[in-house]
Amino acid sequence: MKLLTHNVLSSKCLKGVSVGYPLRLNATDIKVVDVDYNSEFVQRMIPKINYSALYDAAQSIGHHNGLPDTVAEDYEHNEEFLKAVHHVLLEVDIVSGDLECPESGRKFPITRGIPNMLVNENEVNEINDSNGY
Amino acid sequence: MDANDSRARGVPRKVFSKQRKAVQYISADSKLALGAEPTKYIVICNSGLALGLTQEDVITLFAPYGAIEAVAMLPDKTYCFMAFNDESNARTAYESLHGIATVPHTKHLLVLAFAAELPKVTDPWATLPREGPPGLIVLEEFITVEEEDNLVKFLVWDSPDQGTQLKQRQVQHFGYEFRYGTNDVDEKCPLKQGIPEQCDFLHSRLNKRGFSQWNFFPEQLTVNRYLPGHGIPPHVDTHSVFDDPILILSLHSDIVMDFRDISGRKIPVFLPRRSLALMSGESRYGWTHGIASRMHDVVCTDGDKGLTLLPRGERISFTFRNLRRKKECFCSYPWLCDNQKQNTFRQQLTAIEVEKQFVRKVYEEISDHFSETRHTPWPNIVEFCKTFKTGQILIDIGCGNGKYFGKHAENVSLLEIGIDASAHLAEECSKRGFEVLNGDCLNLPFRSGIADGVLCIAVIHHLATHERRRRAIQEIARVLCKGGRALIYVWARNQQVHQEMSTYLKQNRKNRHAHGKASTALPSQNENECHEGALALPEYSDKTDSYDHRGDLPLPVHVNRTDFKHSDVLVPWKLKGRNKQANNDNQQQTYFRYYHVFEADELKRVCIEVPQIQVLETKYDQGNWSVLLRKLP
Repeated sequence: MKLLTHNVLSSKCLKGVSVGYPLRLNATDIKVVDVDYNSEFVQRMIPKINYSALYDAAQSIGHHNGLPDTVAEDYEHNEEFLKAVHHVLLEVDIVSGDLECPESGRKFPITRGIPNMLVNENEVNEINDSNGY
Repeated sequence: MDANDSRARGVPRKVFSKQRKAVQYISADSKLALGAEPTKYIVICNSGLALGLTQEDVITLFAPYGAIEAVAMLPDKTYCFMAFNDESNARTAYESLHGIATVPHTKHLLVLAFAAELPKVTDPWATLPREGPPGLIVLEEFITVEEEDNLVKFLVWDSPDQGTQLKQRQVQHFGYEFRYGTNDVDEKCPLKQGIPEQCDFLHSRLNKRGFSQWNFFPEQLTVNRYLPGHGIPPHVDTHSVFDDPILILSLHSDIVMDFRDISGRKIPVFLPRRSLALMSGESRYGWTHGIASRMHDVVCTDGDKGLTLLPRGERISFTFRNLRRKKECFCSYPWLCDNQKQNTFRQQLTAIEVEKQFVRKVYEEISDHFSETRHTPWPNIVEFCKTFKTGQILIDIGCGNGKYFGKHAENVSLLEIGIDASAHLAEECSKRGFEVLNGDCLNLPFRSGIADGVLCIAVIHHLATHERRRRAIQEIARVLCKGGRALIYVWARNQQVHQEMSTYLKQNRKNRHAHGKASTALPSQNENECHEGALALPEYSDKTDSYDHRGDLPLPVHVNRTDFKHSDVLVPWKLKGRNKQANNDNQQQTYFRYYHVFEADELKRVCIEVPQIQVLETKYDQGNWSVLLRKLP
């Protein structure tokens, strides 16, 4: 799982959880891979992601080197910044560990790079039957 | 029609002024062109439903002049329409009746006119031809006249302890007593009188008529005796008490039985004397049936050329049923299901159980084989993938092995994330280098508004209630950004639109032979997204109905590569024993996957229930229904 994916995950579906974001990241195995740099991709992704969540996640696993704690001004033209973001978003792969709901503490294990986000029916809100038949 | 001719026949002058006024009023009211110029359509200007005129009256009035094609009775109107098969009959009827005969039950002279067409009415009897509700089969001449006599003879109706007088009919029970207060039977108290031996022929006769797969031995028999004018209110045989199918044998008189579905659609079904009606699947679970209390029935004339009235005689019906051992019912007609109505919470649990056992567990078991068969992407879906631009986010819900990843346009870089409920399939997808999660479409683990695009191919048909299907679409709507688009595919119940067989049906060996041309044009790798049986093609079955009666399964089993007979089915997946792994190479294991196959427009209707989205397009694509959605900006 890449940190970019982590950035869009939420445990909001859990009963009693209102935001469920960002999920706390605990990594026991991390793999750094090479991914082709595409400046346009990173530029377009920056407004979509939650930057502070990305920074915190990177920091929590010790991969925040070179990454400023806020988005650089005029980032579209800041190649150094874009490359640092590229690296953290796409090249840091979590192989195992877990994701933790910030509100309920429910843990979602990550195995062989795949987070298991499956929930039991008793953990989520019941499906609304109100409109009936 | 020349007024002078009519006057010559003694039609009073005032009838013509009445006709003129009426034509003016009715043309304006019904927005149909009317006049004295003969056509095959006649309007009765001065009587209709609002004045107590019935369809039967209209048929009685016009039947002597020729075959009646249709009668259109309009609610709350003082006029009505009918159609003959041809214009000359209409002309004769007009000449004989207009201003000469009286309106039935009155002394007023009948005022007629011709119409350019019939108004559109929803009355199913207004037009021909008709089809019965899905799953209903009527076997005519199921028994001989002698057998009919035998069956009637052993019944005794006048003894006080034989038969119960209900409000409108007499009834006798065999095997088990049907308790009218609770609409059930007491399984622990079988009656002394078992199923009469006169009914023993039933099993072999059914086999002979091609229904051996049912292996039907009735445990309960209800005999009803209806006199002309009698009826039975619309009802459904208690889902949790009786199994599928239910058999109705009609003796001594023909009858019309009315079937109704939730939309209020009524289909009258003609049950001729000595016929056996087999009610199964949707007709058994999803429709009520009843008999109107009246003296006559409106039926088709011989050769289906028109309508006529048939007087009822004394009718005796034998209803054969089996008790349902597991008291649960998993049908998708909860509004008629005692078991599901009892507790909606339980309904959800039942749905969850069905999905767990017949979807999730099965996909884990067959994932390797399944993944091998998932390789050819569908053109329309690839087309959708190509509409996204660099830096956009595309989520594939139910991504399987990720066959739609990397199908974006050249030089475009997307964030593609897959999610699948099967851990094995998610792993397949991950091995191919894609970002993937293990998760479920009803509880998407994403924050809201992040996706520019969502793919959801062949997923929602695995959800077992309408509510759950809607929730899945709600979740898609939630994760889409404003203006974001989603493409959803589900399996269609109808596999032949405009006579063109879907790929799924063409892959049936038998159909391939029959439609050689069509199949040679079909590339061998053309694989239907949703019919995954391609590698393990089961033998084609010649059964007239695809219902496989298996006591251990809660739903009917679909016969692969045939038309669907039910909306909620189990579809077999045959897994051949793998080399080396299995002791026997030919050993086959069959898994059953649950499917809700969609009616036309059904998917669209679910989408319309979800706020904030707009259906841009609905398509029928090779046996699937697809919708393209947009989240409102």
